[in-house]
Amino acid sequence: MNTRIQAATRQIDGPLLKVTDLRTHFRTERGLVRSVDGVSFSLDRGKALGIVGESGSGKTVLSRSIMGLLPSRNTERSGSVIFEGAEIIDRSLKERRKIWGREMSMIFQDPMTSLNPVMRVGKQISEGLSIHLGMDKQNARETALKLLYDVRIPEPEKRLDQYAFELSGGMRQRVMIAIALACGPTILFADEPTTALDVTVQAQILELIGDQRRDRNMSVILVTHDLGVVAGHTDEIAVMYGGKLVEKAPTRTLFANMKMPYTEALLRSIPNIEDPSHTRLNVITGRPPDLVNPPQGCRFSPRCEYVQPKCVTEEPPLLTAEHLDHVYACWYPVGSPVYREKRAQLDRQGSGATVGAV
Amino acid sequence: MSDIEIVEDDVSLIVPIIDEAGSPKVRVRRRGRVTKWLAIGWLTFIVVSAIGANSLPYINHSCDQFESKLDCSTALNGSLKKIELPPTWAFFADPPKEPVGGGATHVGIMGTDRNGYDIFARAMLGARPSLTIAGLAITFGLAIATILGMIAGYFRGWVDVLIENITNVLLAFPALLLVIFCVTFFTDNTQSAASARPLWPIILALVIVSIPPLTRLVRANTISYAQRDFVVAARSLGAKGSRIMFKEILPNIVPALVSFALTGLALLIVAEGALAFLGLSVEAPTPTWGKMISAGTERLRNDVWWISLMPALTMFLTVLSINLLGDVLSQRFNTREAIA
Amino acid sequence: MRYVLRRLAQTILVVVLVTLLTSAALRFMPNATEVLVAAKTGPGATKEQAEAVIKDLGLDKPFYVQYFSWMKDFVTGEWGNTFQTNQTIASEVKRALPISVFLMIYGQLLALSAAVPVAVWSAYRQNSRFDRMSATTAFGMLSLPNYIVAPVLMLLFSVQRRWVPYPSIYSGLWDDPVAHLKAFVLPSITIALPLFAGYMRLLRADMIGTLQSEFITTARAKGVSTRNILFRHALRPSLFSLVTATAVNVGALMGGVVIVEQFFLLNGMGRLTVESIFRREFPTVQYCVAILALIYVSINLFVDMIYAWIDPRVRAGRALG
Repeated sequence: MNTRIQAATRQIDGPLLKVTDLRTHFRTERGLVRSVDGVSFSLDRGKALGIVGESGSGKTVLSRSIMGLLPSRNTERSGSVIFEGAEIIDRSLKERRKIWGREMSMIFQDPMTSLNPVMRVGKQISEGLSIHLGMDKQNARETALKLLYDVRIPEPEKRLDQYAFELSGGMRQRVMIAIALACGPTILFADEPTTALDVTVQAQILELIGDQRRDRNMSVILVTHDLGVVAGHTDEIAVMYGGKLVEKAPTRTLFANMKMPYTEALLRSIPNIEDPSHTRLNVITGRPPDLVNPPQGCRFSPRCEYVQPKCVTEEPPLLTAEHLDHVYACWYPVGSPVYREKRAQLDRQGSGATVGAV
Repeated sequence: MSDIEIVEDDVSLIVPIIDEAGSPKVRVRRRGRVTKWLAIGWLTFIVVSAIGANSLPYINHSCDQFESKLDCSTALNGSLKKIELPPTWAFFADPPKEPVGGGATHVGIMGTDRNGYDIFARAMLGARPSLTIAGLAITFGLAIATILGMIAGYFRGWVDVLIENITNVLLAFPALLLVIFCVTFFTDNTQSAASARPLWPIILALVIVSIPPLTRLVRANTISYAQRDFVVAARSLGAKGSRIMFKEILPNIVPALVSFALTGLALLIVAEGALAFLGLSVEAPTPTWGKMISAGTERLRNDVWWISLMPALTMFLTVLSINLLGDVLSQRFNTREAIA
Repeated sequence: MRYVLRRLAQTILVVVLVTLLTSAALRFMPNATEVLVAAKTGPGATKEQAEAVIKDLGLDKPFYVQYFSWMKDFVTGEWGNTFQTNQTIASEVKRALPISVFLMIYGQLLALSAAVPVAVWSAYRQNSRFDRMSATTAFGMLSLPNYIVAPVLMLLFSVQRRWVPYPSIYSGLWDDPVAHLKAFVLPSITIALPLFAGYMRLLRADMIGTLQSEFITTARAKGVSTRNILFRHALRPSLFSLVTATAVNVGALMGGVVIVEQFFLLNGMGRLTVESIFRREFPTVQYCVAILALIYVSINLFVDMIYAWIDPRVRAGRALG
């Protein structure tokens, strides 16, 4: 499809997106909720970044905060978001709206609720085209059809005039992707894009997002709670906990040499097919931290198996590992002498590999 | 454990949504408290004045203490000012050029009507039939509707279908037409429309129109409780239907019933006024709010507004206060629901 | 198709029940025969006159025969004459119906055209000053009976400022549009005030629910402007309760605004019905009630079709059932 709208190929110095010390706090009756508390990272054009964390780790707020999608009332947002070399954090709603859909777009977790139930699919796709590219009805409809081909929906002509409830879950998410891709965005935020889908469809959707990324030279930020999802589909992974970035590394490095006990625990909570059936699933005990009154020291310390006195009092800074692009925030990372000692002690106690099974 | 996980799910996202209504809500609540007390104050004032209307200081300037108009004019001949005067505070209104009759010029806070009656005193007297009719009608209406609604909502099946269909047919009539129809039906038809009319046909008519909507509400409430665990538990222990209805369900729907009663009371005061406006309320010498408003409209064309609008204001404030209390109550009830 | 047939059967059943109930109530009213005879002939009728009337109205026949013959007359259009004015009942209804329809349409249009934007904006700016003010105003309007509003409007616009005549003088829309609108403006406003308040509250509540949906975030993330989000994306899925209420009110307004018709002296259906009740002209009452019931149920049918327009899911569900 040579008529496809490609991401603008403006030449810029440095990374496509550079987030520095981004904070997003919500004023509530209970106090200030620090959902995103000083997150920094950068993302190059055409790359895929996975943001991983539990519910309530702030990963969803982070992605919405970068886009500027959060309602401004009772929200405090500070730090810097530089996109294509320009600061966008202080932009007005009107200016942000020019970015939404055109430069950055987003797909959501549940394609049933995130599609308008009473608007035809074709209309929902072409809406962005007429807003941002000023296409007329006919043109927009043709482009929408091409987009439906692109996202490999069966019988795309038929879908244009259907409603969301007439489609299967996988097809709905493909429509959602078509909407997000319509104006050729530079960055695609995918917020748990496969969580609400059947297992069989999950891989196809991730594949589709990956293919489109390569075709369009688009960057992708994949937000998920599932390390398994990001493993094969990202270049880099950032792990979030309690509103902070706790580890970030290229995907391969992270899986080979993870430093944070939290990352380790997340990985262990994925069920392994090779395990015998009825093996207890490893679950991280405790609850995600209270973002109004976060724990002192390391935020993961109350739930960490390897917790030491220092962890509870002093907050670890982001340290650089052997690879320069691998950072982590832990006093006693995986593999360190203290960690090994504690691990051996735990194993002796007979808990085996089980990290507090529930 | 899993429950907690769900509650905690994406706290960071849910919180701002809750909070958006957060801080201003506090202010609304405080304002609501003031208006609530104003409403209670006004209603107390109306009820006390209505009961003691005969001893009101202004009553001397009205004829209501007399059996008939004739007695009145003979007794007060000379001292009664037979003109309409605007309320004391209405400096902008033009007083009538030439007083009819003579004597002391009394001007009440609501002015006087054509007969020189003090409108405030009459409005307080008018509160009696208005409140009595509406109050009695809602009491009987709610009592019947509670029984019907609970039977329909608890036993379901054919009883429910029957009651539902009867309510549907009754609701297909415009409510006011139904009231007029009932009043006519129960009134002695051999006499003409505007003649003497006792209280009970009016009350009966209002009871009949209030039953269908109230039954619906009670039924809906009963159904929501009939499926709760404590009712199911009582039933599994072998409790009888009537016992469950009155001991388990009724106490739980009482708050809802009280809020329906208040809203219904307000509606029925208005409905009684409508009947009075059409000349269908209680017989002539007794003033009611509706009749006073209606009678005053004749003088509106001459820009004499207070005769109609002062009783209208009294009625409006009363209805507003009752509605407000009903609203406060249903809100409190709902929040309690939400917490439980 | 099966759905349409079932709905049609329900509709007919309700009309039959309503008319049956009315007939029974009028027939078995205490002293019904005497009352009717007196209404028809005037006081002091001779025995022969009375018998003639009884025979003429078929009062000597059993109730079910009376009902069926009435039903036949209703369907064939031979409705007979009014007692006092001796016009055909059909012509009286024909004169009253347009007035009621105009009044209903103007009232609804006024109420809806004010309620929709106010509700949408209140929902969007929840708890803002505008929201709280409109909520308070609506609450006050709901406690304001139309027999208070009507005199106030009359005082302000017909007495203190002589902008519109009182009482309203009806003239056809095409005969004299200005006079027509002048006749209807105050009654319509009177009717519209409480409707506005009710509609506003309903739509606001539904709209707040819709605006919290995920698909609104999707639309925002697409770069859709606030205006289009509110009116193109959020409004239609929020219309259910509003449409239902509007429909119910069509029926209620046709016969239920007696007070307004009476005050402004507009001869609509409500006034015709009530005056007929007052004059004990029961045949007229029966036909009026039947007409009103017909309107009520056909509007309900119509609304079902509107639902299908609002929500395609309803359409699909019906195709299956």
